[in-house]
Formats: sequence, structure tokens, C-alpha cells
Amino acid sequence: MARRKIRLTVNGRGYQVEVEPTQTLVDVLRDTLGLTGTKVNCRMGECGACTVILDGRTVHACLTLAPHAAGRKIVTIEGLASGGELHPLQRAFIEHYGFQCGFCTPGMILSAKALLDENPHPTPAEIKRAIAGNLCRCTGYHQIIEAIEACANAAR
Amino acid sequence: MTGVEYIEARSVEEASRALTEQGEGAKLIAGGLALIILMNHRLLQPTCLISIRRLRELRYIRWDDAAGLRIGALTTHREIETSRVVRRRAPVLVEMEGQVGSIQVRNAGTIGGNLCHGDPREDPAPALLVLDAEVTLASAAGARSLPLRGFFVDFLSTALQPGELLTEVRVPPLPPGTGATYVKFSHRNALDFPVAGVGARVTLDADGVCQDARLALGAVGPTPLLCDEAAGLLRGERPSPGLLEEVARRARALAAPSSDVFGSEEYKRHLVGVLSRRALEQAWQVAGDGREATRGRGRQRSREGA
Ligand SMILES: Cc1cc2nc3c(=O)[nH]c(=O)nc-3n(C[C@@H](O)[C@@H](O)[C@H](O)COP(=O)(O)OP(=O)(O)OC[C@H]3O[C@@H](n4cnc5c(N)ncnc54)[C@H](O)[C@@H]3O)c2cc1C
Ligand code: FES
Ligand code: FES
Repeated sequence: MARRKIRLTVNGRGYQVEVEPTQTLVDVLRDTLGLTGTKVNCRMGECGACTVILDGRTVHACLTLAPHAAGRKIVTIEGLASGGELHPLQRAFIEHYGFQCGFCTPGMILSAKALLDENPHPTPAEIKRAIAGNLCRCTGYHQIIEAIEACANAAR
Repeated sequence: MTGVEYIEARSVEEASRALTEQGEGAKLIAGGLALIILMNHRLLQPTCLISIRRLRELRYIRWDDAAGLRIGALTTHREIETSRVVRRRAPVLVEMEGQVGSIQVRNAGTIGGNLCHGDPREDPAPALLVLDAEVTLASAAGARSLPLRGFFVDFLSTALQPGELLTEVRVPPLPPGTGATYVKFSHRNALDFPVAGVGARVTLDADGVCQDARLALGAVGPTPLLCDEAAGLLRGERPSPGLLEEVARRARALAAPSSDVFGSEEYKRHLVGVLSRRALEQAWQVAGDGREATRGRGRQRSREGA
């Protein structure tokens, strides 16, 4: 049997792709669809760089079987800006120096988005819990937490 | 990896039959966390994946007065953590689930996959063991119920027979005056397996005397370990430092940790003692508070009645 056709909905757009059943979502996003905003690093669920939102919940794209994502709604970092406007979280990350090398940023922003969608006014402790699965080797996290807080406050 | 078969099971029966037909190289996949890591690192190369991820019938949390709390095998850690029913009926499971991995891990990982992986470091087992949880194992031939304490056979090895799936975890109703806790020690506060994890449960009578107790250890042996003998010392007693120290001493003796990057055998054994005492003290406190609260409610009701 091997390859199979699946339908993926990424950032509101439908795609028909052929995948190996053991292929992970991160490889399909990056290599087949060319959506390289989602990063891949450890492939062990440790770093969170591959975080995407699947039906409203963050998951590791490196540990999601592509067929398991079929028919579900996927949001990647490419889906946040709209009409040439950055998403408020993206703007807040720029304004508060929430990134340096930027490798963790897509995953970080998607974890923050999932948090704010569910809980628009989180406490700093809730923010820390929400991004606990996203490692950053550059910023020391403070600016990231500030950026998310600022975004939550601006929405108030 | 190419040429791997992939079957999306539409029922437990279909999954069970596929497991039997596909033989040795076939693997069930639920959330996929444990399995895909092994595959990404070429430690496991199944010939066939049988996905049960879409079996909605195994994804539920229900309470019924006779059976207690019933959790379908495909329920995610996050669903348990955020469930009102679980918070009300077995709050220790909410406390425990909040400490599993990260939100990404909790959104994808299932309780069934966690237990069936049989890794002694995983958090749910000690918390479920002290609650006297049971599991249902089903195959195309039928279903059987097993106490969770009989489920873990050895490192990465469980009582699942060829063709069997875990379909449900049950926590029987707890007697009044019961308190339970799960205490996890890890080096980082997130995304970390426990160096040691301890579940404790205490049931007190109306006078605050212990009627029943359980203590379970995670990550310090080939399987999660129930310390029946140690916990048995508490029956008929009130807490005292000397008594808790003796229970902790026996738990330390039962633990069989191995030295690794997380700590030496000696360190982990010491940790088991500290955490056991802490978990029992907290469970005792929760049981006592629970009794107070029930009495408080009783008083209020009689006042309303008057
Ligand atoms: C980064 C990271 C951090 C983690 N941290 C923790 C932690 O802190 N605490 C913790 O407890 N765990 C932790 N985990 C382990 C995590 O993998 C499990 O908690 C998860 O629940 C596994 O479930 P799954 O559905 O993904 O399993 P899968 O990978 O789908 O399956 C695991 C195994 O069980 C079998 N299986 C699955 N479902 C069934 C079933 N219903 N019947 C029979 N067999 C079945 C599969 O064939 C496979 O062998 C962590 C994992 C990662 C990746
Ligand atoms: S690449 Fe997925 S968690 Fe690191
Ligand atoms: S900005 Fe470099 S890892 Fe976070």
C-alpha cells in the first residue's frame, strides 16, 4: 500500500497531498507544501520549534503522523498575518525584542496564540506554563513573556 | 521509512483483528508521541501502523455512581487535566496531569498510550494505583477487567495479550474521608520525566484515624511499585513523625532505582523517602480537610432545614 492521499487544511487553504503513512506533519508542511515557517530541530517533543495549532490545540508537528492531521484544521505561523498586517502577537514580539535568532519564534507565537484564544488575560504564571514546552536559547524568556503580556493587555 | 502499512481502525474489533493478522511488526498508534520518537530515531521500525486515533468511542470521561470515574483510553492528558468531572471526583488526577510534559504533550498524548507504553517513569500510574484503578482490555474475542496493579509486568512490558487493546481506565468511587496526592520531583519544572514520583492515598474515619492507605512509587524500578506493606502500617493509626518515618523507610527499601543522568541510586532512594513522607502528609491533610468540609456542609443543611 504505502503512499496514500490525504486532505490537509492549512491556514484555511485546502491541500491534497500524497504521503508515506509514517511521514510526520512537519515534513509535509516544510518539504511538500514549502511552508518552512514551522521549524524542526529535535524530533523528540523537547524543543517545541515545530509547534502548530491543530483544531485549536498546540501539538508537535514532529510527533504528529501526517494521516492523523487529515481533515483537521492546521494553523502555522504563515497563517497569522492577514492582509499585509502582522498579527498583534507578531508585532508585540518585535516591539518587546521577543526574539534574537528567531528559531523558536514561530512555535513560541503559536503557543501564545493558543493560550490567548482560550484565556485572553492570562497571569504571568499562566503564560510561563503555556510556553513551558517551547525552548529559547537566546532571549532568556523575559522579553517573550513581556511581549505576550503586552499583547494580552492591549486586547483588554 | 517506506512501505509501511497503515490501517485506520474503525472499531476496537477491527483494530484487534488487524493486530492479529499483521503479526509481530504491527503496532497500535494512538497519540503517537512515544511511538514516533522511537521511529524518528530508528529505534523501532514497525511494518504496519494500526491507528486508533479516530475511535471516538474510546474518547470520553464519565461518572457513574456504581463504576465510578470512567475514562476512555483515547482521552488526552489535557482533557483529563481540564475536566470538571475529574476535578470533582478525583482531583489528584488533575494535579498529576498538569505535571505531564508540556501542553503540546498533553494535547496529543493519550492515557491509554501512556499506560500501554509501560515506561515506569510515567506519571499517571502511581496516581491511578493509589486510587485502586482498574483497566479494561478488549480484543475481538471479548473484554476483561484487570486491576491496574496487575497490568505492569516489567520494563516496557504489560499484561496486554496479542490482539488486545486497553479501552478504559476506571477509578472506583472513593470512600468519604479520602485524600490523595501525587508528588513529582524533576530537575526542570516542565517537560521532564520524574526522577521519582510518589502517589499517596489516605482514608480517615470520623475521628481522624486512618482506615486505609496506599503508597505508590514511579520511576524507581522496572515498573511502578505499590508499597502495600509500608502503607499498611498506617491502618488504625494517627500520623506521627515516627510512624511516617517508618513507612518512608520501608518505601526506600522497596524502591529499586538505577543510577543514571538524573541521579545516583542512593540519591533516588533518599528521594523516595522524602517524597513518600511528603505525599502521605499532604494526603492526610486533604483527607482531614475533606471531612471538615463534609461536616460543614452537613451543619449548613441542618440549619437550612430548621
Ligand atoms: C517531550 C515529552 C515529554 C513527556 N513527558 C512526560 C511526562 O512528564 N510524564 C509522563 O507520564 N509522560 C510523558 N511523556 C510520555 C508520553 O509519550 C505519554 O505520556 C503519552 O501519553 C503516550 O501516549 P500516546 O497516545 O502518544 O502513545 P502512542 O505513542 O500512540 O503509544 C504508546 C504505546 O502504547 C501502545 N498503545 C497506545 N494506545 C493503546 C491502547 N489503547 N491499547 C493498547 N496499546 C496501546 C502503542 O502501540 C505504543 O506501543 C512525554 C513525552 C514526550 C514526547
Ligand atoms: S522538533 Fe518537534 S519538538 Fe523539537
Ligand atoms: S530567539 Fe533564538 S532560540 Fe529563541
